[in-house]
Amino acid sequence: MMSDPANVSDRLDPKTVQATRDLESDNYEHGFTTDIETEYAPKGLSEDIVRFISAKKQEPDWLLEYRLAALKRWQNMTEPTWAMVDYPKIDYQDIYYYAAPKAAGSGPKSLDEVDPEILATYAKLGIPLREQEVLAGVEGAPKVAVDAVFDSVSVVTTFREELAKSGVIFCSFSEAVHDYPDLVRKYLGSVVPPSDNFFATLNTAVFSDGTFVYIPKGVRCPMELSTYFRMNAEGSGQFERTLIIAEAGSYVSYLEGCTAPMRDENQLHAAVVELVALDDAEIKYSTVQNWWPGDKEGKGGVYNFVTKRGDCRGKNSHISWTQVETGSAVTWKYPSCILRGDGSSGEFYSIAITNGYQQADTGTKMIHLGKNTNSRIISKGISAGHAQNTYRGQVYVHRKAENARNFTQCDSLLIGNNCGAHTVPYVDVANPDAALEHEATTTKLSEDQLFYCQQRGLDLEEATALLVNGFAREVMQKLPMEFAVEAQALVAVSLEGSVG
Amino acid sequence: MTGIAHISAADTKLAEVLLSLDVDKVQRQRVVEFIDVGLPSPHAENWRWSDLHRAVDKGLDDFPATAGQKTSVELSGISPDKTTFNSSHTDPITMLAGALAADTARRSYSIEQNHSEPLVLQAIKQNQLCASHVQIKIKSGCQVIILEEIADSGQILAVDVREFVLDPGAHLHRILICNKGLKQTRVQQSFVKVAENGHYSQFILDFGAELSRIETHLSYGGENAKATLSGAYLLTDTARADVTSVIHHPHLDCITRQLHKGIVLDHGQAVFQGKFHVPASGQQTDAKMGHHTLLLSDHGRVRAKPELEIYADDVLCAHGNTTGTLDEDALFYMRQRGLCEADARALLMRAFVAQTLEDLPQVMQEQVGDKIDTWLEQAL
Repeated sequence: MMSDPANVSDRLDPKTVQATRDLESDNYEHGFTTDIETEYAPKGLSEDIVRFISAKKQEPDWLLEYRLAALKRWQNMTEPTWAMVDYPKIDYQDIYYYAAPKAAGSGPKSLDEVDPEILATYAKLGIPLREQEVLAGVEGAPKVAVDAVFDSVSVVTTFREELAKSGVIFCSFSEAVHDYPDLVRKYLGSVVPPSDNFFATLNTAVFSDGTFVYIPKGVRCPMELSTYFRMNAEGSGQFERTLIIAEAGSYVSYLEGCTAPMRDENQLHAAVVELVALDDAEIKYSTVQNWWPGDKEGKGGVYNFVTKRGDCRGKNSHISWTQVETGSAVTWKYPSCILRGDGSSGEFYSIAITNGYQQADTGTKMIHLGKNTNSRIISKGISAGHAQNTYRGQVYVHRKAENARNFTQCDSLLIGNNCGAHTVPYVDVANPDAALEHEATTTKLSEDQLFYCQQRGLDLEEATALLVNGFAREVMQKLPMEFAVEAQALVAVSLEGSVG
Repeated sequence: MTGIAHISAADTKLAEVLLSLDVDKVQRQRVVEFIDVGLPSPHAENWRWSDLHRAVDKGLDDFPATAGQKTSVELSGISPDKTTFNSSHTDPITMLAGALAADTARRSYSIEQNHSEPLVLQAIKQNQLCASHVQIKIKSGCQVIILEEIADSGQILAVDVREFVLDPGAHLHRILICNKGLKQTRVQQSFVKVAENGHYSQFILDFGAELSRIETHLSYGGENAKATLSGAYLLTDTARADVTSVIHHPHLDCITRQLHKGIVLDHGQAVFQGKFHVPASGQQTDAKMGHHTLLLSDHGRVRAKPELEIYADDVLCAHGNTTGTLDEDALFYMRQRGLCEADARALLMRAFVAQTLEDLPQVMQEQVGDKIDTWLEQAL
């Protein structure tokens, strides 16, 4: 709930206040429910449930063993409490770990076989699932291939044939297990191991569906790939698993969107995303996270506890994360880059906006292991109503990571006096050649740019405002075209009057 | 030890040593209370980078069970207050200081007039394990400089707690110099309360130890108060230094300026943890935190966590943190002007830390400057 406009500091840009207000849960457009027959696994988590999920997906034995080992490990783990978020204890036995539209069967089929209710749902969300719909749009509009994940299963994956012509594999994770077992076995868990953390281990035991992407050597993926996650079934959690492999010299841009119906209960979303970039490969991963944030009293909403990590395994590889976080009741999410290959680089651009009683503890980790590695972190946090917004980030430079470079800038803004904005950066350096800069001020702008603006007749204050606002937009511009509409409201956001 | 989940080897050894001390009944009670709590957990967020358990365990290996003289405290000949010593702090470190310190090392002082010369605070330590707990109250409008120097005189473990209470308009300039003590584990914990219009200035020069942890917990007690926290750590050999601070801004219009710089050579390890906490009542807070390090060795390590926790919407809090090496262009330029490499490096390093000395009172500039110069000569 936004505080009374009269209480909003006059240092703030009114457009920003309005843009933030537009994101309040009262204006949540994706909160409808799809009435569809759903098949559930029995409630709760046990070895039987893991076996049930694995059997449903007709998985090979090795994968079942992999899941069971993770379950065993998870049962002895404790939930992390270090994040600045506060939520009632989750009863992990009161969740459906598998929920699938009945007609969906074991996996995606042709579009004609998909339940029209589901198609209608995606149409309502504005996600084009019919290839001709995409083509019928504006002339020259870029194509986007979509993997639509509905609760625990992938229902449709578009443009597969066209992609296959370039050798690109774009399919649901369940299919990849059957069709490309060697690739899955080689890379699954190689970035986020089953022992990584409480939520990643849980995901490893019960993951349902997600997207698998493989870009062969030297291929520039001919279109944007995307996955649209929809949580629908009541009382269920979503545990998707995404794996993207970019072979040497390849390029892919991947988009991810997520929404959920308005429900009074809290729903758990614990996903794992693994990216692998080999020599000279580039992966651009963008997210617009818009899970149901809970109502204005703080009731309901999604617990978004996600582990996303990219491994720049090859020389001169590049991974870039861009995220716009506006949804979820509680967010616990740190998309990270392991800069293992010499000359590799990682980027993290983030705008996190919290309203009502939302809580977000989000940021990134840049782990510099190779020589001449480079990372850049730009994070903007806006907090309104009774929300708490925390940036938590780590930059680590290993003893052998010669010539590492990092630049971090994180700004936060408070709208009203009942919310909080926090910054918790961890910097750990063990190599003398490293040059690291971290700042969280709005005044420390490029002297050259300020000078230039002043030469053009702006006074210092105007020049500063221009540069700061430009910066927020810079993050927005990193988003691919397809998200431009969804993110339009956010373009009005400025960090004028930021607190730190 | 009912209060702790994991009892480490250090906890056990420390408990044995504390129970073997020949102390009066009141101190014995404090020993029992501390043992119940134990050392701060190595998993605690603010101790994860400085392993106190390891340092204590290592130090106590060589501990001979001989009792020496009790530690005593002096403040430039000023008489301590006659009232009973009383502290409201219950941090494990404060409790450890209470367990180790006899009454002669637990003193309160009231400063009721201006002093132009620095007052020297001394904890005279004659044991391998020693502690002190000193409270100093600065009366309204008084200005004073307090200097304390921690020497390496064979202590294995030195725990010192300081409480400074500044009345309205009081100005305390505190200088703390910690000499190198490679076998020493020392923890200095300061609690500072600054009333309206008060001004607290602190400068810490730390040459590191087996573990040298200097904590400052400052809270403003009224509007328009100000604090300047600066310092430098200069580390060679296996020296470790840990600067930790938490500044609470619950009142209107308070200003904090914090600047720490460090140079790390050899196997030195530095930790900086700074936090500004601004509740909703702390509007118009203006707080800046800076931490900058020159990491000049392949074996050194620097860890920093400049943290902001803000609940007020009309404040300005900034933090900056950089790690880097000497500027090659500047070195080249100086060598062109005839300086040898060692001199050029020393000059750049001297210039790097110089900024932290700007706030020092004139009478202290030379003494602190000399310390830094001596260190540079030895280090290069």
